[in-house]
Amino acid sequence: MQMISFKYYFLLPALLLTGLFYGCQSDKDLEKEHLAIMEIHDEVMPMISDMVKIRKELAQTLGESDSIRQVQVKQCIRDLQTAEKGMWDWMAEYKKPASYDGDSPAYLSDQKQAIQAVSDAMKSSYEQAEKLLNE
Amino acid sequence: MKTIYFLLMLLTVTAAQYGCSNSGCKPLPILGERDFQNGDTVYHTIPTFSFLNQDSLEVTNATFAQKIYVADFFFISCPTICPKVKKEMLRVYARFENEPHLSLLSHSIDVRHDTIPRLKAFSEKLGVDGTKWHFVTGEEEAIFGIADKYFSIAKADASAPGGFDHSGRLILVDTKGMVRSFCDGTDPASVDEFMKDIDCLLSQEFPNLEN
Repeated sequence: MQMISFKYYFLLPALLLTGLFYGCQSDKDLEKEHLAIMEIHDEVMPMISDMVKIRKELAQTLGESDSIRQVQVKQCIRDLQTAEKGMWDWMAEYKKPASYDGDSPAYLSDQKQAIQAVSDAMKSSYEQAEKLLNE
Repeated sequence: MKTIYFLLMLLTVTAAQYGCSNSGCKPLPILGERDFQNGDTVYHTIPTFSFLNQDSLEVTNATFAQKIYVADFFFISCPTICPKVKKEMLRVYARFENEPHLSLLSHSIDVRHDTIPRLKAFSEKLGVDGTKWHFVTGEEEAIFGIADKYFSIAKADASAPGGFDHSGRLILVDTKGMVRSFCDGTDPASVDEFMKDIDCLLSQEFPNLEN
């Protein structure tokens, strides 16, 4: 009996420490994944105002464009709008999970892919817009 | 000797009077580009605007007649910068809550999601007086267009990063619509200095308030 209680003396703190370790590790993983997502967001978010401006500039060139260019410009404006909407919608829907367990690792992984897709769409549509304006 | 004593006294009184009347403030510069027309200097001013606030009331330049105001650009779902800026704007609000000559104007740049009811809920959550702090929305082009006018003063700074409307800057506008100061709204120390500028502008624009 004495041996058992002696064991518990060791087991209980060990269990507590293990729990604490995994709790801290879980918090770190959550922060790491969240920050990785925010980094992708922060890199492209400042482009939004430039995208609104370049859309306006493109629209102003429609009158002096031939029919082929008009199609290209209209498509580019739509791509810019879709990419911008993608960012606004993503921000409105993304919620940082409270902890890193259950469904949250998969959720964060999906969100990382989603914001990366938004970032790619913003960059490519803006590049295309610049190219059209400089032609 | 008497003359020197008299001069010293005169200088002391003048210095004391100057110090009291200007609260130790240097006049704030008028920021932004300027033109020279017919021998006169024309300063950069905020152009006319019309937006709707959280109470569905029209907010125009006239809303800020006889007032100075602090402007910023934000959106409710902003995950990084805006929460820090709103915390600092709340500090500015709390500091000048009872100052009737100062208002706050927050423009939402997310015109798709930040509807008037959402702006209303947001202002209520912050617990602020809607007649003092306006959260406005409008046409996307108009919002981004006016942002360009506010932030043209920051663009003079070549080291400033792009995307000014998402930079977290706070802008101080005087009673004539001229930009007089700005700061990094994510940095409490910068906002502390900015609030000193607000004090200075208030004392310069409304000198009788101190009496």
